[in-house]
Amino acid sequence: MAKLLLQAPYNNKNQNHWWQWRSAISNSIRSCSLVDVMVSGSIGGPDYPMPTTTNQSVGYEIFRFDDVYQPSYPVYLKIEYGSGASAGGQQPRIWIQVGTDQNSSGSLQGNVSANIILQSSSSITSGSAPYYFAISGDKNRIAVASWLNHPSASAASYFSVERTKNTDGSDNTFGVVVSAHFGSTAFQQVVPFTGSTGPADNKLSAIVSTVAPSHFAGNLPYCLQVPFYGGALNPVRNNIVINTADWNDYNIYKLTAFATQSDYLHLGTQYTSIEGMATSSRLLMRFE
Amino acid sequence: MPQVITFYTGSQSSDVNFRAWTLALHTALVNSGLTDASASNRINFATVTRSVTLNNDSGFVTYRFNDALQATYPVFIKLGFGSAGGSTVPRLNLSWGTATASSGDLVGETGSVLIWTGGSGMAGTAVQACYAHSSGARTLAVISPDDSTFAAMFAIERLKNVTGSDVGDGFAVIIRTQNNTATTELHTHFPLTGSFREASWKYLLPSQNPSLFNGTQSVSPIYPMAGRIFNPVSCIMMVPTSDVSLFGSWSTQSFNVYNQQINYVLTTGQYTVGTNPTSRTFIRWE
Repeated sequence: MAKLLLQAPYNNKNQNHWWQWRSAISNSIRSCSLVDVMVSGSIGGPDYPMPTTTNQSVGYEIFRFDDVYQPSYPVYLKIEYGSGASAGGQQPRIWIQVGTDQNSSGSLQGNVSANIILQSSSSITSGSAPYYFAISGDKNRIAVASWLNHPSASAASYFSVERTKNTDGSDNTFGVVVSAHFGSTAFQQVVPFTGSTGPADNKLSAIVSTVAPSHFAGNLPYCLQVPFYGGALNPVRNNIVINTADWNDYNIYKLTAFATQSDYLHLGTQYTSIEGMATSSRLLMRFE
Repeated sequence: MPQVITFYTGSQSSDVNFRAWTLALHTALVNSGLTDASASNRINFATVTRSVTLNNDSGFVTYRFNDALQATYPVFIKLGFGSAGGSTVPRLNLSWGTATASSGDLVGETGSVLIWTGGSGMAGTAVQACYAHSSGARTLAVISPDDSTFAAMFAIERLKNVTGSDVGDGFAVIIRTQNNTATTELHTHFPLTGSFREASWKYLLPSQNPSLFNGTQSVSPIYPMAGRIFNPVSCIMMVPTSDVSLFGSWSTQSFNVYNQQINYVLTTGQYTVGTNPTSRTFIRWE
């Protein structure tokens, strides 16, 4: 179980910046105990070539969970690194995809999620100023918030991957929940080990107060994300959705989920429209 | 816990018509199982006349829950019947509280909302209906569900513990007024004290609309909120709008709530609320 907070610039203008943001993600995921599958064709280190044109994926890595369920119910996470819409490939972009198998040459197999583009098509230029990355994970979960305090919501992004849960909050073997947020859009999808991949939702389903402020008698309501696979599944633990008011940006809150207290980090103002039912909402990520 | 439908001519063009719709609503609630609290100065349905004073009630009835918790954690409901912006325009005034005064007013922890607030009046010849379901610890009424102006509903229900049993911690009021304003209000005694009103109904659905996938679809009860999310109440179930084609209006469905199969009936398109997904309303019907 690990949490990391580090910084990197939002640009591919030179080899150093290109490596800084890639390594912020890649090395942190390893630190959180996910395993690099090291398939052929994986992206290289600091000298690996930068993208040279727009919307270009130049390389990828595949990680896997390392928990007790991995041998029988494997989870693979593919991350592609490249460029967005700015000229000359200078704007970073990340793609993520989750699957239940892989072919050792870079393709996810079995049931797979959508291939999610975490930076929108907006063209953003950004200098050498560093922005924060928050990463938290364990052998059975990962959550990554990138450039979370960048002034553009099209740069700030988030994804999380975790197993579906039993009623007591422990992992089960039904499937994997992929969640994301990018450019003021939320995403959730269930990838099961048996049956078809579920439909993608453009929100993280949750119950959020419409009232701002939403506090009452010294209490603040909050809600774990509830994934859907036709019907609702048990809540997952990486993400909590809150009303905009009452909560302080970038604070860490100790909140109870499944009768257990965990630390959650407020991701700030770029993560909006989480819940999708005409409610002003914000996102907390599990951070421990 | 019966369900009752009463009918009335949707008009307030005369005192006779006024008595007809007021008595129809009252009859639906009482026959469905809500207890008439019998305030001494309550409305006389045989002699009451329309209010010539606008935005005023001609009379009222107070009701109460009738369960084992009522003695310790009483819930009272008051319906005021009157005239809105004209003597031919009906007004329905709902209030709730935890005690009654000798005047018939509700006291203690109270709240109120105008269910019918105005409009041009219901068409004189159209037959309207009131669908009511009650028990000792809950009540709901769907009123004029086919009328685009006057369709409204309310439900009042005790809070639940994790197994779905009624508790004395408080009660939830779920309202959809004639102007399609959906609100909820939670009155709580424990662990918090006071009342809190949400400007919308709170329920859990995916953005998929329809939500049907792999043989299952999404339904959600209403979750009361006041500083935290309380266990859901059972009077109302929501579904994505496009799932309605799976059911059909006024079709009865059995949903599993707190490990019990409970019958619900799908109301009309007038009870379409929310966004992403827009959602339709089932009411408990058994």
